[in-house]
Amino acid sequence: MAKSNEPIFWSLFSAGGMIAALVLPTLMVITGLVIPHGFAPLDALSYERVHAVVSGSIVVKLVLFGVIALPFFHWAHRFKFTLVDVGLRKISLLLAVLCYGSAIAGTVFTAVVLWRI
Amino acid sequence: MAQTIELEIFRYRPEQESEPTLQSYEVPYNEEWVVLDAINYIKDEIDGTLSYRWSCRMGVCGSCGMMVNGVPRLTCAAFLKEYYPRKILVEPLDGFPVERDLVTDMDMFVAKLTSVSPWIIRNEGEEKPLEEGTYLQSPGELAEYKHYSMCINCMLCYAACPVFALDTNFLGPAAIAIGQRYNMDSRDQGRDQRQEVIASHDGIWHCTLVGECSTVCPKDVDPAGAIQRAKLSSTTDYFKDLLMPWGRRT
Ligand code: SF4
Ligand code: FES
Repeated sequence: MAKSNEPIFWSLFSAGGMIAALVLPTLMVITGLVIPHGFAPLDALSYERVHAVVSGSIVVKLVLFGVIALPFFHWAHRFKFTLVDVGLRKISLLLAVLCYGSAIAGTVFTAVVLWRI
Repeated sequence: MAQTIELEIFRYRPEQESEPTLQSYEVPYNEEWVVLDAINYIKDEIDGTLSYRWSCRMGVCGSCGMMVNGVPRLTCAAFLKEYYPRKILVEPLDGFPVERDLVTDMDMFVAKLTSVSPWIIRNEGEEKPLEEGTYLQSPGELAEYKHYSMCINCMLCYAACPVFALDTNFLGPAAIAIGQRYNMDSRDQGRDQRQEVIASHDGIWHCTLVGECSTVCPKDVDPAGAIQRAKLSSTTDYFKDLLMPWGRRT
């Protein structure tokens, strides 16, 4: 039986799922609640500070890269399967190209933006 | 008059009708009865032409699975009192071709089950001679696979699986769980052989972790968990093969 390449997409999907489940909610709480409601100094996430942290460290850039790019693949995989399951099975190859292609495009874009900071 | 309950039953007799119909039966309501008792009552007292499968009447043989009010159930474990006074709709298991009335054609399932080689496989020449006795196993090793071994092949998980409903090529919950049952068995050496089927495209990868299989399973086999574990270990294999092709397991 043909060997499946699914492990590549599934592992990216799973890693993205971990981030979507653990890291993104934390970030939402920090940026959406903690700071706007004054539980932390308002300028804790000021442009200058964040810019200095990101531009100064390759490690921070790599972490941000993972946190931003992996959820793209989580979305791509989920969305592709959802479309297939609602009846677009016939064009599943096209959907795969579109969904994973978008995720790859997003990943490249993220890399470029982070690189330039 | 004693209380009664209405059963609406899916009928299909290919020699006399081209489309299935529903037929209603009024049976005595008895608190201790399960749906299978009511169906047996119909067969014995009202309409001997009704066809269905059953055997043990105690949740062991796995042959009495049907859709009861749209949910896959062992009819010998679904009590009338769960439904009374509403009427009960009984249909053949979803996802399988109907042969007659409530009897489905199981060939597809049996083929899937056989494809994962559900028996202990030993490498050539590593079979222990009889006189050396049995393969010993610790309680910990047994615990690794024991709950998968509880599967009674009732196919409820297939009837519940929306992925299987859309694509019957999918190997499906029980076959994968049973494959895992042998893969996790310390006496078995057949994992690589089973991976050919389990890790293939139609093996585990159609599953989107809906989890209905584990919800309906009467034996707590947790096929959804088995599939997740198989995905993880197959992914590990994949990257190992990719990064260290020389370490390829034969
Ligand atoms: S895994 Fe559970 S639901 Fe599926 S066939 Fe086995 S016992 Fe039945
Ligand atoms: S009759 Fe055997 S499981 Fe129900």
